[in-house]
Amino acid sequence: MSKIIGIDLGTTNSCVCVLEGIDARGKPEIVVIPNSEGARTTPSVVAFTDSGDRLVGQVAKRQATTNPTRTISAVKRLMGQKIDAPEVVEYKKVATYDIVPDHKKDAWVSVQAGLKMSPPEVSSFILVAMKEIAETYLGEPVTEAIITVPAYFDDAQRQATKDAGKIAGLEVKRIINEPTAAALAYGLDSKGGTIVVYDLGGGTFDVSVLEIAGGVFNVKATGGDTHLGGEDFDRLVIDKFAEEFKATHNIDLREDRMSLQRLREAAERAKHELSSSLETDINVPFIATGPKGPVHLERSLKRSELDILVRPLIARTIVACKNTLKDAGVDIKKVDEVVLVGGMTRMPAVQEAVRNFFERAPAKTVNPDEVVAYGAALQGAALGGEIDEVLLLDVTPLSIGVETGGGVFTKLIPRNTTIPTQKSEIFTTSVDNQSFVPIHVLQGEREMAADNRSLASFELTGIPPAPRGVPKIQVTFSINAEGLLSIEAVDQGTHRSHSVTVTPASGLSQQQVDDLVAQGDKFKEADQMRRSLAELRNQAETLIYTTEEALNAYGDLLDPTRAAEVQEDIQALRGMLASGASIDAIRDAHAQLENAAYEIAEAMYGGVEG
Amino acid sequence: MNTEPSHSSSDVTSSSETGESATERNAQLGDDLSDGAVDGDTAVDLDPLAQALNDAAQFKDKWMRTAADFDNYRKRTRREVSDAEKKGRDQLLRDLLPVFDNLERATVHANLGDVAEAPGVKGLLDGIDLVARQFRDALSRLGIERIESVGRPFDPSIHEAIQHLETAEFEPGCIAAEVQPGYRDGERLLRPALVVVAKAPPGASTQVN
Repeated sequence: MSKIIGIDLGTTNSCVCVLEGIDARGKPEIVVIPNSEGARTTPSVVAFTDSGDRLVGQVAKRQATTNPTRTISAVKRLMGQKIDAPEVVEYKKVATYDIVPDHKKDAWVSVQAGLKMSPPEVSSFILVAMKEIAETYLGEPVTEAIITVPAYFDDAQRQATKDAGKIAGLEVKRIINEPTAAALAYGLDSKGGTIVVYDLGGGTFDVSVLEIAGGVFNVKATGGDTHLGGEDFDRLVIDKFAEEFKATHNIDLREDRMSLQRLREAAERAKHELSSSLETDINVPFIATGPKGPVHLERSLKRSELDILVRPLIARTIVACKNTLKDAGVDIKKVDEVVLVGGMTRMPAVQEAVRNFFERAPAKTVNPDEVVAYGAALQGAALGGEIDEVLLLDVTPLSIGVETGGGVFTKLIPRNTTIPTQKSEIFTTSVDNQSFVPIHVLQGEREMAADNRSLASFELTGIPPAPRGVPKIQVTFSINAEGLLSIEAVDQGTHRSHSVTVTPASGLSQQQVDDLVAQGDKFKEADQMRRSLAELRNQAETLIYTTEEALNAYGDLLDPTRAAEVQEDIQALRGMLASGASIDAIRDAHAQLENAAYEIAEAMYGGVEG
Repeated sequence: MNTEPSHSSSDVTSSSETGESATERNAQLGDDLSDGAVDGDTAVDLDPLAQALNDAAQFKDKWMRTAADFDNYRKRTRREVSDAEKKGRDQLLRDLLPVFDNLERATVHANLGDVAEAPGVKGLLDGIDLVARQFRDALSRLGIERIESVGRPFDPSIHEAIQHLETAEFEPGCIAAEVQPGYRDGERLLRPALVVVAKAPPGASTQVN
């Protein structure tokens, strides 16, 4: 059976992990799988080019400037969202690509005139890339995965993520919460207690309060700031340097792309270095040209200076922590563990602020960029039966209920309820002789129905005339093991009933998903072609190397004209590799050289025996 | 080299033969035991050869497995060592390349104005040029190539676009200028070239393509 991989499908970067084995002491060994460029995380960026190519990851990011309207980043912000959702409206202001409604008012992405794509489809391209990274490493096909999502994702957003997996050719064994995955990575499932997960990433800040008891994770509350992350920290440093530079040289470095790029790199480097040292030098020679010739940026930066600079940003995260604890109804003294997630938590000032606020040292032994995918891979291994770990139970992420008199939201199934589950309640009419009752099903935690997300609405008709409060309507909610919600309303007087099965109000239909899966297969051919070309090139290079070695050592065993021919074959193949020849041409040249290599080997061994 | 594997493979068959016969004999021995109800210890003493053969077969099997494991381990380690070596070298180069970039920037700036005309400066600049050339030579000896860019079609697998410029001078989609050179070691990208990519000026776009 193939392995179940763990994927952290992030807003800015994604990461994939897998269980490699069990060490001598019986502890699971999880590895972070590097991509083809050797990086342990891959940018969550997808681009569509004029030539019809689809680029994913670092390559897509590198060409973003030349192709801004068709380079899709941060698509996670659109997953399972309506076009008028506040998050989408906010993101639309800064996105370089067009966000358009589909016929159901879902937020889709316009990738070229007349072609829109759903966010799950765009995400599926990232998942395909992550899947291939894992397959290359494992040397076997991967078909199953665990994917993580933020704890605040609702059913539609989770369903969208599942659809993305399906389109990518992955069976999503489970969708788990990012903070839960981080807690799993630290083995906190066996300890239990109240855990706070502080996740400060590249562009978002999330804080979650979890309660673990008997291996069951309860999300007590989530909070944070969807527009606060490492990029904001960098910007502060860049602005400070640029302002200083402007004051002395009267040149704004932010106006020239190259100067800004070099300044940004220097700022990032300084930020990283100050995580381990107390002072660092920033030297950017020839950063600009002034009236009197070249000018340089030269300055040192102390950790304390940086700390003062970013203090307001860190303070914002602490306020969010305070509010989230309050929402969860948890006293700060009751917090048993604090887990750090996200690259920005390497900054000593961030760790210090967290330590001071929670009055305890946070857990940070697992690489914070990888801890979520790490936990997902652990859960994958547990589901696959490879290790003996706590299996997470599927729970409803948000409460489900109906709208009742005065627009109030009445919860029927509270959040974190383990599924499958069923719950029923009796409702009645609110005016005399009411002949039908509208049933509006919603999901969310807010008191008023209007503030929550609508899942479905229908009417139960044919209620015989009666004074208000007399008819008894039994409404039953059931969620099956797959997370599918169905609702039945029965008038207990007439036994008339009406039932619906809720598919998330936004999202793709089964047919759409199936079509996309079929389309994906087409792309797969092209991708496979590209990959086999890369493999062939690799083999060819090795063959050139080994044949040259053999020729040098044993060439005198060959007939001199034959040796010259082999030398020519080598040059021909090398020329093809350099000029980017077609796969067939390279394959032929490779085969020819391979024969020559065999000949040398035969001559070699013939020589040894004779 | 080629003779060795065939040699050891004949070993495999012979050892498994002994292994089989040894276990067969042992089974018979067991049957005898239950029939005759003789004390186990004496029975083993009765046929020390069978026991020894059995042990030998087991040890041989274990030894061969360990040898195979070790061989695989050695291969993997060799690969890992060479990967680590390359990675370490790449990292070192990535850290050093900016120094070289700045040396090149210095010479570019020097040739811009009339700085070179000042007395004594010419010789100094020539010297800096030589240092830059020395570095380039050292890189090519290491097998590190500079990525070609200006005039070439933009390729995000080796180029990173930092600007999109309207110009008629270059074909749209081709590289109009390089702002920082990129380097690669064969197929492995050390650092992409930072480039400015040409796009058709407004109005001209219809003629192209």
